[in-house]
Amino acid sequence: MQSIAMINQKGGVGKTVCAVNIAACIERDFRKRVLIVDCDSQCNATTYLLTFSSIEPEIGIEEYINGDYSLKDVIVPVFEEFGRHIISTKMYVLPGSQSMDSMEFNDDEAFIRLLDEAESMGFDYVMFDCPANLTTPTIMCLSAVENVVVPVSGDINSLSGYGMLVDTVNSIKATTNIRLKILGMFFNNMRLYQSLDKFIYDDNKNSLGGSLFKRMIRASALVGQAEMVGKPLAYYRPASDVYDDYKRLTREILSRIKKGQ
Amino acid sequence: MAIDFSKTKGAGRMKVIQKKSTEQSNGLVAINIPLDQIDENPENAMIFNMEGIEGLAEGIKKDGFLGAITVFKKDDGRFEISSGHRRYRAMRLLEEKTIPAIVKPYPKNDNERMLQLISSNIRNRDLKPMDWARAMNRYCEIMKATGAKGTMRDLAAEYFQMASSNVGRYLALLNLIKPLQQLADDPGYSFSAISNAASLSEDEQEELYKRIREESADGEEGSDTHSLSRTRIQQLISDIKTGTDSRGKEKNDKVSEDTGNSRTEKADISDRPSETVNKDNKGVTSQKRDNIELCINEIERITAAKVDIKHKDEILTKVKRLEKAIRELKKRYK
Repeated sequence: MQSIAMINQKGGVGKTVCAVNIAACIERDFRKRVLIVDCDSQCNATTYLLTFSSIEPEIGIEEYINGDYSLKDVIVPVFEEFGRHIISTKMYVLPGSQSMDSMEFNDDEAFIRLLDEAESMGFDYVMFDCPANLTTPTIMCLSAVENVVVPVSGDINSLSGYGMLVDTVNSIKATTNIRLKILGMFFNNMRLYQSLDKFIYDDNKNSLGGSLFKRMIRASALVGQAEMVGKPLAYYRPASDVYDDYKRLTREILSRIKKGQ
Repeated sequence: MAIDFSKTKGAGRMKVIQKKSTEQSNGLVAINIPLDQIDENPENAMIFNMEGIEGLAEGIKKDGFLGAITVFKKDDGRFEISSGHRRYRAMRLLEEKTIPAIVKPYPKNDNERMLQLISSNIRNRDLKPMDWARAMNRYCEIMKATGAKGTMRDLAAEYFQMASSNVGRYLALLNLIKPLQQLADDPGYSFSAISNAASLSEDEQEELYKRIREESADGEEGSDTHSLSRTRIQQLISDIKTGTDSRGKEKNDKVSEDTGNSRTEKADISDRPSETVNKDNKGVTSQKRDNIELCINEIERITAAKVDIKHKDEILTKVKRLEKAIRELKKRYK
């Protein structure tokens, strides 16, 4: 079982959307069991994934961190539409809690506990959706996961977010979590017809060392539509060009994880 | 009107991020790893000596820790040292909790792992003769296992950057009894002279060691023991080979009249062997042979000395010329 955290301290780069879409791609096209953990108090990932089944969870990550529940009691299965049928997928979500930012975190190792339980439950991948800014849940996440994937958009500030994360990861790696590593970063929401996006991509594609994933995600209205409708892109428009981007990126991510083992 | 982004301040900031990213992905960043998560390569202590750790620890305490060790991550999540065993032990001695380490990817196989260990040790340290011997031996084992082409000695000579005959001399040390090996490591003794004893049987080696101890024990100049010169050791070896005994003779390396040999410390290569007639047929042959051996010893002395790598070529040409001269001599006196 491998853990992946989608982190960028800069907001608006598309962490939640990518976390959901990549997780759904792993589930639908790679047929693996995925748990998505919503660490964001805005709970966008939870809403996105549970739109279709209209489930409104009462307990979530806050209760789990407090130790009141075991993992299997809090996670919620994700259902999707397939044709006219509703099918259960191999995706589960640990719902976020809106009051999470102000809670008292008395268990620093909650996420390590989470990963242990997830492994014994048979999950293949656990995807953490983290909020912008270096919040306590994000740091707890960094202390537990093995792989960090950084979405970046075509602007200088999201790249700085990546730069700041490199330092953060190094210091956490040195103190609490030796196995932590930045798996890589990828460009999201790229409008290559736009001169700035083009410049940033061209300038960076060969200068970031081995860190950059080859496949970037192009900008597409379909991504926003999918979110409105409440389906991951994998279940909304699996034949689209932008979903093809996601598929190739996901393949790169999974093979890089495998190689690092 | 498209602007030229490459001239903007933002582009400059991107350069900084790119540099950081490249360093990161090249694994050039040293992180502090807890000492108790790190294991040594078990073969390291079998090949290389681990002396002087206290001195190293003192140096670290005074000047601070310089130079991250390299480790790789094992299957069980722990780390194994690729290079830096002595620094690791020194930090343990100082009861430190963590050590700066660069994490490298796991070597492709066990042979790669051993080669990494060997190469990192031979290039940065002053090794003792036995360290060289064991390292070369291990290297030859690996080369044999991987089915490399060429003689083992030549391959090792290339890898360890020394003459093939020198490699042979180091490897010969492994055929010696333990006490003689310890003498080879002693800086007061010429290891190449001692390595000539490898052709003796075990009993003969014991005898040699006994004689060396006896002679060095009754030292002059107020010291308890004194080391034997290479010529003396050479002589003792040939004594044992020929079953003669030159002990108790004068200490200035002049041999008694019995064997009819006269020998000086410095062998002049152009010297013809003395025409002293010896009644014993065997003695004549051995005399010529010893003279040639002396010439060879001189060359060995030159090649065994630690030379500046810049002068390696000069030395090699000189050695080739000398070796050619030896071959002529051998032909002449066959």
